Amino acid sequence: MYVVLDGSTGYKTIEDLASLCFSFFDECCFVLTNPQGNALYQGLPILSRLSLTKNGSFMVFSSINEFLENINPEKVYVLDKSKGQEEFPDSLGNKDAIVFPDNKTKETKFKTNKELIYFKGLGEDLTLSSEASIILYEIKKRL
Amino acid sequence: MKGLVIYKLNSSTYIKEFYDICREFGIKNYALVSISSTDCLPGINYVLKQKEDINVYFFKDLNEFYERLRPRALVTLSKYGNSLEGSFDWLIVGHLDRLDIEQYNIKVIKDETRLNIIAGTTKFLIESHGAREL
Repeated sequence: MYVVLDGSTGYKTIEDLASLCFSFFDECCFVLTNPQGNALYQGLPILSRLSLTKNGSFMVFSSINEFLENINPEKVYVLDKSKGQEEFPDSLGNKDAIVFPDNKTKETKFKTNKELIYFKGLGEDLTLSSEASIILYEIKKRL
Repeated sequence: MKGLVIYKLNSSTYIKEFYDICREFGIKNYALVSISSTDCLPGINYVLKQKEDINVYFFKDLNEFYERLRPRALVTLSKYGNSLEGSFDWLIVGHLDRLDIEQYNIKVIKDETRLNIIAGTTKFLIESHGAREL
C-alpha cells in the first residue's frame, strides 16, 4: 500500500507520517509528492534517515499525477472534507493508495482517468499528523 | 529508457554521480535499491534536494522494486555478457549475483571496456541511446 503526502511544506508531518507508515505496516511505501520549502530542506534528510534506520521504502515525485502515472495504484483514496462521505476507507489493499493533502491554501489538482474515492476524515481541529495516525491505525486494525 | 537502478552500492559518491548521469541523459526515474549504510545519507540527500523532474525511489530489495515498478526488460553490464539485442526499459548497476540475475530475469550485456562503473555506464548509455554527446 502507498501512504501519500501531497504538497507538504513542513518537515514534521513528513517525519510523523513516514514513521507511522514504517511502524504500522510491513508492506507500506511512503510517497512524497510536490514537497515545498522546509519539507525539501529539512523533511527529506529526515525521511532518508528514517528509511535507512527503520528499513522503510519511499518515493518522491514532483506531482501527485506523476505518482499516479508511474505507479498506477488500483484504488486511490483521498482525504477531502468537502467531498468525502465516510470517515475513512474500509480497507486498503497492497496496491491501493491513500492520499493526505497537506496544503490548506491550494487544492490538489488531479489529472487522471482513475476514479478517486474521497473520504472526509475525522475533524476540522485535528492536525494532519493526528488525523492520519487515527485513520491509519483504524486501517491497520482491519487488515 | 525508463530508469536507472543503483543496487547495493553503498557509496554517496556513486549515488550522486549516477543521479547526475540521469540528469544528463534525461532519464526520468532513479531507483536506489538495497542501500543500507548511513554513510550514504549525504548522497541520498543530495539526490532528494535536486529540483529536477526525476522521480526518486528507495526500496528495501529487488523484489519490492519489481512489484512496485514492474519493469518490462531489465539489463545490466558485465564482462561476461552478450551483445545488446532488442530494447530495454531499466538499467541496473551494482553488486548483482547470479541468483539475482536468474530470479529477476535480468539480461546481461557485455561490457568489454576497462573503465570504472561510472564511465562504463556512461559509455554504454551513449552507445545504446546515442542520446547526447558529453
